[in-house]
Amino acid sequence: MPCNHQQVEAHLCDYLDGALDPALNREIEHCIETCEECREVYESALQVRQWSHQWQPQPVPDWHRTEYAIPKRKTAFEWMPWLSMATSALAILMVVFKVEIVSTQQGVTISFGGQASQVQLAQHIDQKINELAIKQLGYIDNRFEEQQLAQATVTKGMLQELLEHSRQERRQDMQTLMASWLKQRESDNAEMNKRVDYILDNQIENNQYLNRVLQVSNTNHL
Amino acid sequence: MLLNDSDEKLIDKALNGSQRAWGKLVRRYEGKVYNYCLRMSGSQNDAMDLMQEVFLAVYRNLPNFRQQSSFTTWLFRIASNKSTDWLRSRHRVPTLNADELPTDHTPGSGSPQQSLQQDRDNQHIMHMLGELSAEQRVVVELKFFQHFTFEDIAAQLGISTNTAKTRLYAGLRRLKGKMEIQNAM
Repeated sequence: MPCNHQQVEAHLCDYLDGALDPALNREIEHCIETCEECREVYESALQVRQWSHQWQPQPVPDWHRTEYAIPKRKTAFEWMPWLSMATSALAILMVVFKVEIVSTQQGVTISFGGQASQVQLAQHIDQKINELAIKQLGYIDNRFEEQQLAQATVTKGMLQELLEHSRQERRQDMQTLMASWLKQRESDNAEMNKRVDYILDNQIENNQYLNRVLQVSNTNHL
Repeated sequence: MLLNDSDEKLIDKALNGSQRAWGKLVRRYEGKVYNYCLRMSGSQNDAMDLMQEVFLAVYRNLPNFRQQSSFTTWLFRIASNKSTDWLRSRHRVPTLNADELPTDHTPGSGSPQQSLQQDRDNQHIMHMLGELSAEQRVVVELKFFQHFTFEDIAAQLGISTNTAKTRLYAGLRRLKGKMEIQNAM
């Protein structure tokens, strides 16, 4: 009996689950036993079923499960863009309406349309310039003092270095002089010793000569 | 008490804006979906992307869920569509990337040797499933790993039951051939 692959195809899974009636079960069994192709598919199905038991479920990595489901909450700083916009609008209005805010010793004066008192303005400018001048003078004094202090420190350092250098040169000169003097003294001593030896030698010769003259003289007298 | 709530109750609550209920529903199914995506894609990163796409689609379509089928069937219908689209969009049948092999071990699941063996088994399974075409793999997955009936599979994939059986049969034949080649090597 030729194998009906389509029948195996249709009932293989039920056959694996043991859910077929006995007659159909026998037919499938026969196909598997006699048909190589059906047997291969059956073995493959068994293998895959085994894989499903072998599979080690992997844990799900952490992820945002409800991120896309959460409606955006109102944040504490949601008013920030509005505040920024209001500030910008106020600044623009102040420019358009020429708002002037003048701070004087009497207090703060706000005027619109550029009608601030010229005298107040001049006084204010003078006051600010005077304050600036005082600050500048103080700044210059401080800078000069700092400069002088820095210069004195540098000069002192240079002088110390110069003196140290000079002392070192003097020390070297003295050492050279002393060495030269000692050498000269040794040389003089040697010369002196030579002369003394010469004189002594001459004296000995003179004595020997005189002795011989005395001997000859004594001999003649006798 | 959300712990023992049925899927339907959780869905109703989620539809009424309960994030907790939605989170609970996701936690209930994310393991199955993630492992399904892992076997379909063969890569942990792709599985994560795919799983997130699936749950996003489920969330968006939750108001359309009529409860004519079980939530699991409906969920895997979306998962199957997403995974098939994903595989087609890449114009390839993904194979296991050696750099992306799963390395997570469930704590206390056994000795290191057992864990290693389980990892190897998983790698082997993913590798072998990667030899199938997208259509074959979805059917094999839904039949053997998710244990759906052919009627459910046909409904999920929008095909006839006979087509589902034919794809399974062809997939099993192909797997047998690949297994023989691998055994010969």
